[in-house]
Amino acid sequence: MSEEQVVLEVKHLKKYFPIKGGILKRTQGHVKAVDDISFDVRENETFSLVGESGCGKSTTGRAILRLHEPTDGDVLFNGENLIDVSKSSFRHLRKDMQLIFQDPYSSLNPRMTVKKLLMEPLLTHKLATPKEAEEKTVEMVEKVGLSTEHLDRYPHEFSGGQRQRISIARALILRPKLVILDEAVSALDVSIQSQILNLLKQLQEEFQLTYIFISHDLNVVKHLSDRVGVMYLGQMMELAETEALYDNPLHPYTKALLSAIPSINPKEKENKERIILQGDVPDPSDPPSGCPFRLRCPMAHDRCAEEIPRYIEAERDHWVACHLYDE
Amino acid sequence: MKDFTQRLIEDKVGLIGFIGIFIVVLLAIFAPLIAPYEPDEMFTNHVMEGPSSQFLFGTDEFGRDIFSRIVYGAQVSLQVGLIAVSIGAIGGLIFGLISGYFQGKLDQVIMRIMDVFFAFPDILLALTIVAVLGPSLTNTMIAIGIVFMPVFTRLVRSAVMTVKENEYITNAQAIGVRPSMIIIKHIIPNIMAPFIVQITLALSGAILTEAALSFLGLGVQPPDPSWGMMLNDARAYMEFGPWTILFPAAAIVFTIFCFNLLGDSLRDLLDPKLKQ
Amino acid sequence: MKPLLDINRLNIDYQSNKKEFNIIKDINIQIDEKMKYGIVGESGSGKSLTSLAILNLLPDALKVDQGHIKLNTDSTKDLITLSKKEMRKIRGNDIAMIFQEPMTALDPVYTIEYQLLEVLKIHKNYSKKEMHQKGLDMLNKVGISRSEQIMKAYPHELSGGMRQRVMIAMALICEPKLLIADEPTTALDVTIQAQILDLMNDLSESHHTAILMITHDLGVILETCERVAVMYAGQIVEESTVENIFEEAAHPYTKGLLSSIQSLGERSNELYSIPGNVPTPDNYQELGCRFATRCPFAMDKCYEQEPPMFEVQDDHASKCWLHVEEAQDDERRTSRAGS
Repeated sequence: MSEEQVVLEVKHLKKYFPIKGGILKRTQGHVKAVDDISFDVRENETFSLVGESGCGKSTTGRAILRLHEPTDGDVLFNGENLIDVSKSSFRHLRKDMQLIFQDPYSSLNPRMTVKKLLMEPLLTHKLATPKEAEEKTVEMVEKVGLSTEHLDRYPHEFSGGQRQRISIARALILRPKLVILDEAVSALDVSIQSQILNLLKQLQEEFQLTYIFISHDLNVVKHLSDRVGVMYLGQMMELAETEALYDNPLHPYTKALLSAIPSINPKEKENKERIILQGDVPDPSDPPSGCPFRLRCPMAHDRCAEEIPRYIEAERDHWVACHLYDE
Repeated sequence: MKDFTQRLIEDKVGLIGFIGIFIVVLLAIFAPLIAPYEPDEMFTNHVMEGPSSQFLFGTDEFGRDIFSRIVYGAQVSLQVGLIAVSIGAIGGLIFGLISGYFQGKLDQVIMRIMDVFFAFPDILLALTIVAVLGPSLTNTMIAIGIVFMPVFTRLVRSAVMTVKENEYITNAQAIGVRPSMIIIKHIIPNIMAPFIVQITLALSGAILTEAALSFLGLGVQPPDPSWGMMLNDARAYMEFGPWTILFPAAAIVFTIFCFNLLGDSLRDLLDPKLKQ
Repeated sequence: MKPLLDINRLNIDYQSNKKEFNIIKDINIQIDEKMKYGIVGESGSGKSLTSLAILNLLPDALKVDQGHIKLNTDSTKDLITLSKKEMRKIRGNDIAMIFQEPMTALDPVYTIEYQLLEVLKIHKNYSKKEMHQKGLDMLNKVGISRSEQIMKAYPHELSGGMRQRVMIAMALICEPKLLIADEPTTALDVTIQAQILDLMNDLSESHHTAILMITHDLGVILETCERVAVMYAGQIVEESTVENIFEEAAHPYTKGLLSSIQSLGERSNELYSIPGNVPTPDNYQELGCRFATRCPFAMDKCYEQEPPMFEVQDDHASKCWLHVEEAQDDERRTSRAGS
């Protein structure tokens, strides 16, 4: 596994949002949305980022694509540091990296037909003449399970699942290498969600895609991913291969998160040990000292308040940031 | 476009508005052919006469034919309305887009300037500008345009900020579309609805502001007829000759009404969601 | 004993000057006292409309066409025919409701205390002091520790989980007989969802409140409910105890839903999925079964005639022609064996 080629390397990525206040709109503090996280993504794999709302998983995705300019850190895409590239030349790099959003209702311009939506990326990057673009559009629409008769319609004429197919077609028409899926199936009904997940898997094989899958849904993540990173309050808590993480979670937060998923198997429900965490996620503009999870952690001890746990490889390919594993 | 005309024809209300405006435009263009007399021709024997077969809408205090003056006045009023509103709308669109899309310091500067304009009552601001530039038809239009600009700027700015929140804007950025194209292709079409409605409202406002300016002697210069001026001239005589005020007022109401009808239906026609 | 809430053949139509069509068809639900009942369905299945109909809060364009919703407390009332004034006495008092969005369900300009005690002011006659004490008790019961402080807070000062706790406190403060919870945890994170579901379970037991849980999440149903109705396109397609539904689902739609979720956990390559899209009310199948177009087992009959609610086993009904066919086959076989 580890010999596979690394496509994307994220090193010490930070994204702080200033909090402005007062009459003069001075910066009074920072929300550390992403606070020093590192990971790499390997070719053709699905790497997932999970966590609760406000943990910084979406911001990470957007910082990689520089839709939010990172505060600090490096992002290496095929060896090239994306942070050093000027804004205008970064626009050309965007064709290799695409983003698919959660909300299929607001992510498509309501005034453009499907055909125009799909042609826009090609024409923007001058990858095709209008005529060629139209041919590619027809091909792409069929690949995502829609038909050519849909081309002249507007987004509002489609259901949520179909719109998400359009979003996928629009992202993939540029033949990107890396696709970041930000809660891409979260807004969909169960019966539609599985259709889209199947489609994503099938397209990944066909186009040799690398996915970064951002989600709060641990069941979906388990199904789709090769490796999973668990985030909490802007930091990476644990990162491992999917099976290792689900079968043998190390971090107390991961354990609690997994136990909180409502079971769908009556037998499993009987003998499942549930950890119910106390309290809420702390305010990210005022995080606790030391380990960000310590206020809710059933295992917290004195050391957790004093120092931030190191992010270490506790087992082979299994990283964790917790004092319990760093004696 | 073919599709659009088709839908306009099917939409009865919009069609009525469109035809009404078309009639006013025809009146303005073919005024010399339609009007029976020159607008400033005085029939001294027929001062303040009611409607008759000779003078369709009656005559005013100088014995001028009101019908002819309304026909010629359409030229002035339409011109003032359209050009003044275009100045205001285009200026407002540009400033509003810059303000709303890029935000930051530039936004602050633009909006504070607009606030200053906002602080003055419309008519006072228009008066000041005309007073500085000198009274003439062109300057009246420029003044009204400037007066209307802050409203458009505010409207466009807030609409842009709402539209900008949509993920399809981020999506376009993620694809690599340059900011200028994002504004043209993704933002402008999505702010058109409130913008067009504001234009129809501003048209009526412009015609009325012109009337007020003319009344104060700073707008259209006599003897050129404008509806607003006719209205104001007639105020002193409306007890003896209600027709002097009735017909110019009707012309203004009719035109504004038609613009509003058209504006409403345009907004719907431009929205693909309401397309059946 | 009469059930606490008895919904009988409830039909809801959409009416505007342009169109008219049926949305909710023949809903039958009986909820006993202290029972925890779930309605599960995808968006647009009509589960929320059913709950709004109970409180007579349907949007103007929707009309109850026929049916009864009987509430049996001290006396029996048909909620459909009740006057507005009588209905107001029931809302918040006998039946309370909590909504999905704790962010918008609280009014941002009033303190928690004001909103929490408002219900009490309307329905009960307590002194100011008693009310304040009641409010504090209730906040403590929903697991809010700094209750004095929270009483004075405004909604925006609280997190999503806290707001949902406040909503639950507001709903339960009058000790209603029935609590309708419309997707109460959908907007919350999993760890907070676990807290809230736990809390609801505890409170319904200690307050003897029946719960009607409306959700799209089968997992939430299994965590909280005893009985469940599965809705699809405005109809109940299957109804039974939670155990029966999860272990012996009969209707193809229920089976499909369960398979797609269960296969998620298995890390298999291909997920089971129900083909097609959820229909919108204006294009529901007029004749036959509303699920037929997406059903892998659809027969000609399914497009022609509406299937009956068939008792597949004791206390377990499913709306599908397959069961009727099977039953007939069995009958034939036994009669042949008998002769």
